[in-house]
Amino acid sequence: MSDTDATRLNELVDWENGLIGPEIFINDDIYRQELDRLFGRAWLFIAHDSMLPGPGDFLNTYMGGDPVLAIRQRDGGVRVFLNACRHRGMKVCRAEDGNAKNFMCSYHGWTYNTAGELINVPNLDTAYFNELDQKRWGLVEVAQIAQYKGLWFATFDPTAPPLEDFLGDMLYYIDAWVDRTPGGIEVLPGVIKWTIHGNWKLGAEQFGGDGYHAVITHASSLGTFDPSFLRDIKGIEFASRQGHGYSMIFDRMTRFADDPLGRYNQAQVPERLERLGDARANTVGNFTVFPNLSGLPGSANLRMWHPKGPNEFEIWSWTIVDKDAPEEVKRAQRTSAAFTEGAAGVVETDDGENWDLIGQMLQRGTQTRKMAWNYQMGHGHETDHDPVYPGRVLRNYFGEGPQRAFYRRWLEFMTSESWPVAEALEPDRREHEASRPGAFGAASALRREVHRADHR
Amino acid sequence: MLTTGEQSQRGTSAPAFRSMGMARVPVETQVAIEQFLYAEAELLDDWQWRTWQQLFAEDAHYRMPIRRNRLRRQRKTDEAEDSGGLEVAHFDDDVNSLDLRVQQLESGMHWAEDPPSRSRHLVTNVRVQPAGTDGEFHVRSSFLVYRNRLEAEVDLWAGERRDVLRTHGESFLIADRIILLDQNLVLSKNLSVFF
Ligand code: FES
Ligand SMILES: [Fe+2]
Repeated sequence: MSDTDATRLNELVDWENGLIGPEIFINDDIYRQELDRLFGRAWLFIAHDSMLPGPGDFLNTYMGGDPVLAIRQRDGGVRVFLNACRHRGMKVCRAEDGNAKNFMCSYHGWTYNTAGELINVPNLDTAYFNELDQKRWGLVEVAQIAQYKGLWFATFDPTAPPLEDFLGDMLYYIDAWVDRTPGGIEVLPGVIKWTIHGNWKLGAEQFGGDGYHAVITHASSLGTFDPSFLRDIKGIEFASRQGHGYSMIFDRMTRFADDPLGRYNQAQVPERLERLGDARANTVGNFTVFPNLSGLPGSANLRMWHPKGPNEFEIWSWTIVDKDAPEEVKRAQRTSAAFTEGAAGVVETDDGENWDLIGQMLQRGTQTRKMAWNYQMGHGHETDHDPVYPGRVLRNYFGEGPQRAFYRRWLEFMTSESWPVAEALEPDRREHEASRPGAFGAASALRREVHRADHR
Repeated sequence: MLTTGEQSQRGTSAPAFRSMGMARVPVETQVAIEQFLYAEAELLDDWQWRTWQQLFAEDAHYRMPIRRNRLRRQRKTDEAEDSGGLEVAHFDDDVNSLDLRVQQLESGMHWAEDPPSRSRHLVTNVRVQPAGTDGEFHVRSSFLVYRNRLEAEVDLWAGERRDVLRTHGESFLIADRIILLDQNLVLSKNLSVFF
């Protein structure tokens, strides 16, 4: 796709009027451009700190279409490399996680250490006449890596702004699930991975804010097991200028009233109130960190939408727990999370039905590709100056503001040559914080610093 | 059957060979257990989920651990053994949560299975050993589940079941079931059928 196609993309994504042409979910050229311009530049989630506990621990993940290897270093840092040998591009590590001292490519045997350096080349003398400069042929490393409270992100773009700027006003909402106890969170071992034959953006946009679907799509789970869940829902919806979204329901912390974790969560309320303030402590939410990290704090779920082609993606789904929670609470969380989310979750199975069938229709049809989709819900009812919540906020649970913000940001990435600067509409987050000491006092800022130091 | 000579050539010790589950129960028991598994498969393929659910004992667990792609030297010998730990599972149900899953199917609003998928549960390689507890058996079997959904959707899941079956009158109850799917990355949009 050539640059002149910016005009075409602008036609397809009319975020101002809430109209999207579904071609962006199925077109191969648009997909290739997306891998390069969006996934090649944005900050992408790699792992939580707890997934790489010791030196030499590694895990395999993806940044857009490319496999990357994240490795815990001896100095406690984390480095991320393209998982591709510099000789012919073979994967140097095929296990999904583990511990290693080095990685030998199984094609011709070039071997790299955990710092990505090429430390052994078979027949260096008889094949290369000792003329190969090994220093120049280490694994390709990402341009930048950074963490926020144990969440590691990386980007291939050396010009990407600092991670905290990229996350922007989303930090307020991220804190609500990573920083609700002094010990923070940890990720339980194991990841549920499955395949949807549809476009990754369908998942990302839904988790950003589509509470609207829950009433119908999840009628058999949320509606049947706990009808109170869907009865006059009070909540808000937040859309970030940076493309992130969060929507939350007030006055509950788990999705089912009889959840085995109810008692633990109830006991946590005073602590959470103190750390987070009234506005975020007692809520159930779902979110998307632009572009492809999402989660459901009320169901202890964190996940990635990995693109695998215009019409295929993988969901990688983890369970998160409070690090300091008792073992039996963690166990209960594990069981309850598996019951709701994941490939076999009673809630999640019904989402797969929708995304997969939409994918089939777009793949086979022509007329269904031409029909504009409607993203107009709540348009004109949002404010950038909510007294409590940062970002663009709708004081209603149903709305499509996060989706409009997501596709606006997507369009900027797709059509700009250099890092797309999002001109700020909302007040700067730190000013916002300062004006509301109840929610973010000096004490909580200090606590955040201490917490960060713990992670080093 | 292999001779002792062949066994040692393959480095297989005699006790390990025996524990592979060569027939050690009366042939009638073997047949009864196979018939039980076939009848169970029929209930699932006929969408008789409520009746199927009643085959589980009150204290039963029904679970599917995840599978992992790990280096051979770091591979856990038995993923099923880990499912009692903190590692996440596709599901880890007791009879109450299993009951909720059946309730969901009966709700008429479980869109992933409404209209219902057509499934075919093929059960084979049934190996039976006494469990040590009176009237209980360890049963390992292989399965192939075919799902055809709506117009053109096809899923194939192969794997293994490790059951504990408990004698119950003329038949059996499932006292425990571990399902090991032979996929690490599940290649389908969901796992909305029972295994
Ligand atoms: S491709 Fe890795 S050594 Fe040749
Ligand atoms: Fe959903």
